[in-house]
Amino acid sequence: MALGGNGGMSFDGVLSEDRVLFLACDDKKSALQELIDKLALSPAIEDKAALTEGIFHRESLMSTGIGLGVGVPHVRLESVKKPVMAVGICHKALSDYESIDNQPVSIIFMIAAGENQHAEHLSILSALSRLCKDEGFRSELLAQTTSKSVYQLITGGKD
Amino acid sequence: MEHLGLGILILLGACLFGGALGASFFQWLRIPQVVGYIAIGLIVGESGFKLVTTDAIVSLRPFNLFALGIIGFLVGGELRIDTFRKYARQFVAILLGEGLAAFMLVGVSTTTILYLILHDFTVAVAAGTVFGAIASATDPASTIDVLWEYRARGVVTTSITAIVALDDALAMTLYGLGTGVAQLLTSGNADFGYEIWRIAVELLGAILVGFIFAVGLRYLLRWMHKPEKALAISIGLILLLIGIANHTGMDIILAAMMMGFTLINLVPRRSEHVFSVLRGFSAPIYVLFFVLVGARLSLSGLPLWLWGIIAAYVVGRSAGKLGGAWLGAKITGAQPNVRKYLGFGLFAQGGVAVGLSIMASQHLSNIPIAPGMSVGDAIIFAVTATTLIVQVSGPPLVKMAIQRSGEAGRNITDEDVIASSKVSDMMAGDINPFNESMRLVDAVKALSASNLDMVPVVDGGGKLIGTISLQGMRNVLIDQDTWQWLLVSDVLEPVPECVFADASLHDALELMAQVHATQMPVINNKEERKPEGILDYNMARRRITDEVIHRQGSFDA
Repeated sequence: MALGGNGGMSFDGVLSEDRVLFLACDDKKSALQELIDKLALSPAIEDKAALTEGIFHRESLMSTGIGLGVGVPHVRLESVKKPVMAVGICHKALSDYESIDNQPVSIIFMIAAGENQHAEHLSILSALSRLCKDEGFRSELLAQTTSKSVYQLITGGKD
Repeated sequence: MEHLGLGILILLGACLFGGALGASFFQWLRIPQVVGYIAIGLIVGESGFKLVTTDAIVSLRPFNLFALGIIGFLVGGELRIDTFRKYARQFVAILLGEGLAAFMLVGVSTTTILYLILHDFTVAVAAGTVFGAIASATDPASTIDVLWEYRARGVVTTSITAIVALDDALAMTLYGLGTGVAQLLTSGNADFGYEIWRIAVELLGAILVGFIFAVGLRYLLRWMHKPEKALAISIGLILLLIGIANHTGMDIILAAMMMGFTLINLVPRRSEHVFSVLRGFSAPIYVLFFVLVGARLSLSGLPLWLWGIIAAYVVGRSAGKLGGAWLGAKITGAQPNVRKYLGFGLFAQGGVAVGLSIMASQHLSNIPIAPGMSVGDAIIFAVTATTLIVQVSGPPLVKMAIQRSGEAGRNITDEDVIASSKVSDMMAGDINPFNESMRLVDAVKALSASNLDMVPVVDGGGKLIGTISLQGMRNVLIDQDTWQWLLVSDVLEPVPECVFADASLHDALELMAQVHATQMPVINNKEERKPEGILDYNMARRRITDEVIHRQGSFDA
């Protein structure tokens, strides 16, 4: 992870093209489960059950809908070797996400990090928060039609 | 080493082991441990089963010198220059009072008895003068051992330490003059000028060499940061000092004492750990030294008429020490406890008295006192017997003095407080753990208002799952928007180590040092893991210091 030109941080190494999904489901639980299934395919995830439990436990404490149509479900687990991310673009905004601004969620960034990767985890969350404040970025993201273009947009054009 | 009978290592091992066992037995009887060492020495030595032979004792003389050097150095380290400045007048008056009174009373009484037996006034005065000089000495080693054993602290303790440290010099001066007088009276050819010169060289030379070695050690300690290296270099220098003093006829204890005194007053903080490590290292030296003191004492072949001298010596010396110390304290307006109890702390007689008696046996071997016996022989017999009596009775009296004056158990150190404390005694207990579902915006507010850098985080069941600190949140602190949607569980740090509230503080502080932690959560037990507080290293240290001061009370005021 290096500082890059997009949002102050480069997500290459955290995100991969194959972990960008276009979600067709219309509820939060299904969306999160699809992203978990995809994220769990990463070699960095050693325990899918723990990932599922962790993500839903965090949501039970408070929704990760951070407003502006963005959701950031995240977890730190002992069974995660390095920070990884999956991105879901929802064709139909999820109205049951319970965001802090009560708006439906269309963009989901799911992040998993190791239990001791405290600093990296917070850096990713902070960078995403800054990035998503940019309305142009959000609109551009929602306008993408391929995983590759979403990946390039988020990682600052890197392949 | 074949002539030692038992192998030297078996001999040393048996003396150490037996001495330590004897000390434990006497401690169980509430008698100072030093009496136990000497008792074991008596059992195995000349007066008992003769397991330790005279040859062995002679062969171990270098060890005794080493022990005297270490003891002297440690005694010197007990004396602070500001204490001397504060009590200088009082110490000098008490020193002269107890030393001269013991000298006078023993001198006059033994002279009288000897005159009544021998009808030779000259010989009686000669022997009485030497007896009196030897009687003025007090044994620092066994006295200090009792003070340390009972962790004494206060003005009586300080006075005892100062007087026993100083009165060897007085005893040596009186002895030098006494033997001069004895030789002058009996042969008329004593050279007083030479005697004074010899004493001056012995005493001032010892002081000068001790000072120079302390200054040298001070500079060496700058480069020796590891305690074990500092210990090695210190012992090396002490051994060199002992060798030089012994070779040139200077007083070993005085030289070593001066070295310890100078060092502690030149660099109190840097030298403190040297004294601390050396004190721990000195325990077996003390045991062996006193076992050998006991082993050396021989009462066989003691002429009956000498028992009168011995009784007069013990009574006269005791009365002189008590009365002289009382008078000196009274004149200088010392505290009532010093007047009442100081004299009882000055009874012990050891190395210097025995050493002077051995010197007297050589100096005065040509003055006949009875058929087949010289003044020197009589002195060595009598001092041996009185040493046995006062070494057995002296330490319990030192104990009584510090107990009656309320100074026993007052020398509380950080280590004492740590050893007797639990984690719960020194932790910050007024904490409100954060729930994992607490919003970061609320947590930052609460943390800013807290005087702690770290707060425990619990799950819904109240179980510790991590900690949160401003330092750990530095990556999100600048982005205040995230505070609205991040939770404490998102920023908590896992807890690799925590301690139990009822665990020993010593173990907890060691664990913190091992893992380089300045703060550590405290939990109730392994199963429930409920946070009870935070153990903050710096806060705990401050509380330990406060507790030391509290326990010592207003004693130093």
